[in-house]
Amino acid sequence: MKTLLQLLGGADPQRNRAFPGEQPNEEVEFMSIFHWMKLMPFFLKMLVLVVAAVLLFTSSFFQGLSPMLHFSIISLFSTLCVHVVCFRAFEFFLRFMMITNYRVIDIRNGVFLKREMEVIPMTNIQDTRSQQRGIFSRIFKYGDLIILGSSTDVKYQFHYVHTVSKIHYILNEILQKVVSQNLPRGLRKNGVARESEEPVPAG
Amino acid sequence: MGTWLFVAFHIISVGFCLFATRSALYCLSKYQVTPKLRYTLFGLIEARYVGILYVIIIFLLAVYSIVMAFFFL
Repeated sequence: MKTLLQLLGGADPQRNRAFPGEQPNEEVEFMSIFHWMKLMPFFLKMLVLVVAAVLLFTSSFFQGLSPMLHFSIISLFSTLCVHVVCFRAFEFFLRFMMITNYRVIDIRNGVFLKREMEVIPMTNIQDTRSQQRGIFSRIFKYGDLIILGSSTDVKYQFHYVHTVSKIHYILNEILQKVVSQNLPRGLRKNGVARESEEPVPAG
Repeated sequence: MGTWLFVAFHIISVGFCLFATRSALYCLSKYQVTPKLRYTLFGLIEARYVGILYVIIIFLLAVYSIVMAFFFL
């Protein structure tokens, strides 16, 4: 039964791990694919290609070909177009970001032979930024999330992030917890850093 | 000869489509959304719809093309 479920691509409710490579005590705070607007440039290109192909297939040059050849070319073209569009859609669903209490993970899986995972530990994050530029990003609520690493050169950018301000808030909340946990015990209060009442001894 | 190549292309196309759909959905099924993650919907459900649509369209295209190819023979 489990194998059948896996074959059909269903999630297994009995599984303990939320994702492959989950560490002990790691909790997923946020997991999301990117915004569908990411696919728009591709779909616009495909639309232009299909319109150009329709114009070509209805031209007098193609009408002069034998019916079998004419039909074959249209059939092959339409089949390849469907493959390309659906393949791109699968690639879109297989790229997603995840925020856990330990790290930010960028997963770039592919349909065939591609499993990539980039991990940014919370302790290496220096600063985070979110930005929304343009009218479409405001209307459809997406934007860019920029994470600056501890070294000034390291910069991670996530484009087309869903509800970027909300995700920025979640990320900052987790970062605040991580920072407060790394502070000396005297500077902690209910898991949140407080103003130092006692001066910290120098050195 | 051309017709048989055409038929072979469509049979391979259906096989490729089934394998790609199965591979993508199996890969996605390894990630599960926990109940508290309600901010955005994770892609497994949408990918299933795309997969079903993909298989149906490619299968219908293949059947129609193969029937038409033998009609032209």
